Amino acid sequence: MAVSWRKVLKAPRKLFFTADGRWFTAITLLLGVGAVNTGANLLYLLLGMLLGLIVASGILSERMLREVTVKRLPTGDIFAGRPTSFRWEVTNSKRWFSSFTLVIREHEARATRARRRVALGLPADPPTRRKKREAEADPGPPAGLALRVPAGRSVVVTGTPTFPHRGLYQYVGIDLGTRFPFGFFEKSRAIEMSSEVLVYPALFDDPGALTEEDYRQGEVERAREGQGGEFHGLREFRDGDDRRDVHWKVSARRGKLVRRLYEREDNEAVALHLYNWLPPGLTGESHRLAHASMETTISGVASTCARLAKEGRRYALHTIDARVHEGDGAGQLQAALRHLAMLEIRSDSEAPPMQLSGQTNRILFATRFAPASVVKRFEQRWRNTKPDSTDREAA
Amino acid sequence: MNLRVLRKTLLYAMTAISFLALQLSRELSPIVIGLFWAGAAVSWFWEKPRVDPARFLRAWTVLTVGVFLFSLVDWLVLDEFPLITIMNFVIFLGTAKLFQRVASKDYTQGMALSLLWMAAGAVLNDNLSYGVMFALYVFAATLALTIQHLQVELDVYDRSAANRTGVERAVVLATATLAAMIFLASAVFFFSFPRIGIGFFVQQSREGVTTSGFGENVELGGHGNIREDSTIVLRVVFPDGPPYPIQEMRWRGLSLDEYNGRRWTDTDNHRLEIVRFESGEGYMLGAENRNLSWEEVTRGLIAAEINQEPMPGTDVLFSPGYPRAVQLPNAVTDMPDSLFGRTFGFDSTGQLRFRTRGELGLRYVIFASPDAYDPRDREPWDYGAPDLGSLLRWAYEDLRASRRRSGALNGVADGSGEGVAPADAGQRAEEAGGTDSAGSGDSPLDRPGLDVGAATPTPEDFDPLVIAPLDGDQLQTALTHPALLEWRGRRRQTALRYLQLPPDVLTPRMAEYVGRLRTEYPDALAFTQAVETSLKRNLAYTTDLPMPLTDNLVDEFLFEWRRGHCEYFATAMVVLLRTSGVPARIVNGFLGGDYNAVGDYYTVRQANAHSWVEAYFPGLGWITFDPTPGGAANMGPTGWASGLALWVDNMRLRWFRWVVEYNLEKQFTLFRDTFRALARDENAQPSVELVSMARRLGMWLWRNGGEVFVLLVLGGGVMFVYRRRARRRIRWDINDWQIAGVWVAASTAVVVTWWRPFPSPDAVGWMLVPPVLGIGMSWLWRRSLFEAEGGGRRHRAAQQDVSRLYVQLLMDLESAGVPVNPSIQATDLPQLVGTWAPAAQAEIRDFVGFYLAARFSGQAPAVEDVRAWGKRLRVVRKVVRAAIKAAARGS
Repeated sequence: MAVSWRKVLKAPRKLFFTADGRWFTAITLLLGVGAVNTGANLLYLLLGMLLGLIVASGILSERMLREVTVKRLPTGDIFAGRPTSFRWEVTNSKRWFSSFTLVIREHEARATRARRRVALGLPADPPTRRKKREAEADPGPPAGLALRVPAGRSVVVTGTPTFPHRGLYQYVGIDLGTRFPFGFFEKSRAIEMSSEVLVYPALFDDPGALTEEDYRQGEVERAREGQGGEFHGLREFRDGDDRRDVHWKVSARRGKLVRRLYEREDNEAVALHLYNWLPPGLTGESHRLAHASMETTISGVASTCARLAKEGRRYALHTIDARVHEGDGAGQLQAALRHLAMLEIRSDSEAPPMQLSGQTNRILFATRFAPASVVKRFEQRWRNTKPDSTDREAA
Repeated sequence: MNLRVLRKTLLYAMTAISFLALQLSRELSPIVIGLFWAGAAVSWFWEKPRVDPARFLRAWTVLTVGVFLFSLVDWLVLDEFPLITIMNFVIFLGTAKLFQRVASKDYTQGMALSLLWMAAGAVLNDNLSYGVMFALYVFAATLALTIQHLQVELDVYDRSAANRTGVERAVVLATATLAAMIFLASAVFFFSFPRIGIGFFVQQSREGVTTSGFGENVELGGHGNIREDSTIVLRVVFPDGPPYPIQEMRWRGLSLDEYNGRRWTDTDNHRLEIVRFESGEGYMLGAENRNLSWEEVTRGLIAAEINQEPMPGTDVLFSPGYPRAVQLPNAVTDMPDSLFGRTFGFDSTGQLRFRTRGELGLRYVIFASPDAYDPRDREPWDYGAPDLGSLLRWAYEDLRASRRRSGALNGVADGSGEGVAPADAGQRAEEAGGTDSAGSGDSPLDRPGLDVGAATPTPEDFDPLVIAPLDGDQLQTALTHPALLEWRGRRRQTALRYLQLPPDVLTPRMAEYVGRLRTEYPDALAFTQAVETSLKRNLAYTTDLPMPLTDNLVDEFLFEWRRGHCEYFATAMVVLLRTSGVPARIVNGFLGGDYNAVGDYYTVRQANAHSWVEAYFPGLGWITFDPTPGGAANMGPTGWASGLALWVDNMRLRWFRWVVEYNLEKQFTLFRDTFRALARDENAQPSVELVSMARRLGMWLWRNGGEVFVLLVLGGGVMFVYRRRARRRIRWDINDWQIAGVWVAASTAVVVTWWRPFPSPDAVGWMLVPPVLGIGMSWLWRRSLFEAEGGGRRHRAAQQDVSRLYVQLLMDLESAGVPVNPSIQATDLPQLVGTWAPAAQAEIRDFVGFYLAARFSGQAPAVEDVRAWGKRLRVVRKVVRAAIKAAARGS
C-alpha cells in the first residue's frame, strides 16, 4: 500500500502571522492576562472583542479563499531585468459573497527560487529567521492582488514581476492567499498547477554601442564588409574572392590584385559566436564578476539578435557546443533567445575550441576570460578583412 | 470618499470614541480633555499639502521624551496616581500620532493606541457609557482595520491591484455586517470565558452620583434639590414578588438618635455579630442561634435583589425592612479585608454597612422582616447581653408586669391592663426558645392586650437593677459579674439615647401642644399615632423653606412655617415623642419607587429619599410612623421622556448585572440554563449529563463488547474491500485514514473493556469520544474544503475518479504483462496497447480521450460516464489479459 504521508499530513491551509498580527496577538494575550488577573469584566469585554476579531479573521479569510479558482493567462516574451506583465484570471464561484484582497503568488520550485535569489545577490535559500528574511527585501515570485472579486464573476489580475536572471523558471503551483479582513494573519491555499516560464536574457537598449572598445566586456569583432552597397575600402585579392570586385585601377598601380570592399548589406547573413566558457576555480567576487561579465555578454548577443531581427537580417548563433541555424524573422529570434535563455556556461578545465561558422560575417562575443587562441582566430580573420586605412585613403 | 480619506476618518472615529470612554470616567483633568480635543481638531488638517508631517518627526520625538520625563516627575515627585499619569502619557502619544500620519504604519499605531485607551477606559469607567462607547468602538475598529488592511495591500500591489472600483462601498457594507458579527462574538467570548480571576479589582469604582437626597446625617436648615434629582440609586428585583405595593415600601438605611437642635447623628453603633454560612449562601445578621440553617434564617422574610449605585459619603446598604440576612458577591466577600480596607458591619439599630476602597456600587440580596416588628428582635439595649441577662430580663419583665398590675410602675395610674400578662408570657416563651413563629406576619397594632400606660417607660425602667434582688445564688453572682456591669452601663446609656433632647428645645407652646395630646391620648401608642396624624393633617409638605429666624427649628416649623419636608416632620415628631417619654428615633432611607416594566424591576431614585420615625414600645419593639404628608416623593421623569428613561435605566441595570458584575456564579447559571433549555429538561445538570453520557457509552461497550468487536472487524473489512476494490482506491487518502482511525479507536476501546482490571466505563467512554469527535470534525472540515475547491464535490470527485481509472488501467496493464513505463504519455498508451492487444486499442484510445478531456478541459465529466468507463475498462482488462495469454501460448 503506497502511502503518501506528505499528502496525508499536509495542512489544507497555511497560516502565517503578519507583523501587525504578532503585535495584535501579543496585545490580546496581555489583555487576557490582565483580565484574568484582575477579574475586571470590562477587560473581558475588550478581550472578547479582540478574540472576536481573530475568529472573524479566521472565518472570513476562509470564506475569501473558498470557491475561488485561478487560471494563468498566457504572457508575452519575458526578458530578464524588465518588468513583465504576468496575468491570472481569478474566478469567484460563490453565489453571494465577494472575495476581497486575494493575493495570487506563484509557488516557486526550489531551483527557481535559488536562481532568482542568486541573481539578486542573495543566498540561494532564504534565511530562516524572520527579521533577516524581511531585511532582504526579496520581491519574491510573481504576485498580484485582486482587491475584490465579486460573487460569480472573474477578474484578471496582473502582476508586474521583474525576473532578474535569464533561464527557465519552474512554478509548482499558485498560492492563493489573503490577509482579509484585518491584515493580522495571512491564510493561503495551495493550488497545484505546474508551469514553466522561460526568461530571455536582458536586452540592451542600444546593442550598437557594443563595439571594439568593449572588447574586454565581451564583443571582439564586428564584421563590416559586405557584398555590395557603398564602397568601404580595399584589400588584397584572395582566393575565392569574386573577380568582379577587383579594383583594376589600384591593382594596376600597386602591381598586385586588390579588390573593393563594400559596406555590409542588410540582407547579408551574420554568424554570431558566443564563447560561453569561464575558467573553473573562480571563487568569491571574481566568480561573481566573471559570471556577471558572461551574462552581459549573453545579453549582448541577445540584443544583437534582436537588432538583426528588427533589421530583417539573417543570422546564425553559435555557441561552444550548439548552434541555431541561420534564419531570420521572429521565429529565428525566438529560437535564438530560447537558446540563449537556456544556455549553460561551461567551465571545462581546458578551454574548449570554438568552431567557426562558414559565414563570411562573423562576430565573436566573449569575455576577457576567453583564451587568446580563440580570440586570435577571430582577430586574425578580422585583421585580414579589416579595411586598410591607407587603402581607404587611396580609394 | 476614497480609501485614504475613509481610513483617516475612521482613525479619528476610533480615537474619539476611545477618548470619550476615558473622558466619561471623569478621571481626566479638564486640561487634558481640552488639549486632546484641540489637538485632534488641529491634527485633522496637519497633513500634506498644508504641512509636511515628516519634517516634524524629530520635534515630536523630543517632545515625547519631554512629556515622558514630566510624567515621571508627576508620578514620583508630585505623587500623582500612577494610572492617571500613565494614562495622560498614553493620551499624549495617541494625540501626537494624529500629527504624525506619514505612513500606513502610523495609522496602525494610532489604532493600537486607541485600543490602549479603551483598555484604560475599562479600568476607569465601568458605567453604561463605556458600553455605548464599546459598541461604537467595535464598529469603528472593524471598519478601520479593514480599510487599513486594504490600503496597506494597495500600497504593496499598487500597480497590479485588480478591480478597485467601487470597493469602498462594498467593503463598508460588508464590514457593517462584520461588525455585528464581531460584536456578537465579543459577547459570546465575554460570557463563555471562564471567570477564574482572583478578582482584585472586580468591583471597580463606578461613577458616583449626586446624593443630595440621602446622607448619613440629617441637617435641618437646607433641603437641597431632592425633587429634581431623579438619579436612580437602587434597582430592585423581588424574586418572590413585592410583598406590598412599591409606593408603600420603605427602604431602610440608617437610624439617627442624637439631635443637637439642628443636626441628627448616629451614636448607637453597637456592632453585632455576622455569621457567614459555610456553604456560602450568605450572612446571618445579628446572629443569635448558630444552629439555624440558611432556609430557616430566611424563611418568611422579604427577599430583594438590590443593585445599589455608588453613593459617596455613605456605605449603608438598604433594606425593605429590618435586615436579617444578606448575600454578597463572592468575589467581593472573598477579598481580604486588610488589602481592600473593607468594612462589613451590622449594628443593633439595624444598620448594615459594607465598604470597600473607593466608592463602590454593589449588588446584594437582602432578606428583611416584612415590617418593623419582629418577635425575634431584642430590644436595642439587650443586644450583646451576657447569657445571664436573659434571666434578668425575664425577671424584670415579671416584676414590671406585677407593678403594672399594682399600678405602681412609672406613676401612671391604672393602665388598662387587660390581657397583658398572657400576651407577654407567650412572647417571652417564644423569645426564650430563639425561634420565630407567632405573629411574624401580623401588624403590631392589631395585637391584643396593648397596654399603653405600661408601655411608657422611663430610663429607670430599663435598668435591671431597679428590680428587687431575685432569689438564688446564681443571680447574686450575675449581679457582680463584670460583663453584667458593663452591660448595665451600656444599657442605661442606650435607653437614654432614645430619649435624648437638646436643652431648651421644648418651648411653652410645644409643651402645651404635647400636653393637650397627651391628655387626650394617655395611651403611649395612641398618643404617638395622634402626633403623627396631627402633623400629617395640620402641616403641609414643601421644599421651599423660609430662612429660619430662631435656633429652635422644630418650634418654628410647627408654629410659624407650618410647612416643611420630611426631615422637619420626622424631627418634630421625634422631639414631641421624646418630650413625652416615648423612645423614638429618626430613620433615613427611601420611600416608594417605580416599576420598570421594560426590565421587570423596581427603581428607587434620589428623589425618593425620605425620613420617618420609629418609636419603641415595650413588648412591641420599634414601630414605624411617618408624619410627612403625601406627595413627598418624586417619581422621576414623566411624559414622553419616561419611556425612554425607563429603557435607558433598564439598559443600565442590565449592563451592571450582566457585564460589570458578571461572575463565575452567573456564568455557571447561564450555562446551566442554556443546557437545560437545549435539553428541554429543567433539572438537567450539564456536568452530570456529560459524565453520564461517557459512562453510558462505556457501559454499553462493556456489555456488548463482543458483538461490537465482531461488527467492527466485519465493518472495517467491508469498508476496506469496498474502498480498495469497488471504489478502486489506488492510494489511501485522508478518508481512509479517518475510517481507520475510528476503527482503531473503537477496537481499542472494546479491547480495553476486556482487559482486567477493567478501568471503568467512564474511562472507556472518554477514550472513545475524543478520537471520534476529532476525526469527525476533521472529516467535516476536509469535506467542506473538498466541496468548496475546484467547483464542487461532484465535479472534483468525478475528475478524481477518472484519474483513478487511468492509474488503475496502467496498473492493470502492467499486471497483465504490458511493459508500461510509469512516465508514459497518455497519448502513447493506445499505440503501446495496440502492439500487445490490438483488439483493445480503439477502446483505449477512446478512454484516453475521455481522460484527457476530463483532466484538462476544465469541464466536469458526467458521473454516469465515469461509471460506464469503469465497467468498460474491466472488459478491456480481460481482453488485454486474454490477448497476452494467447500471444504467450502462440509463442
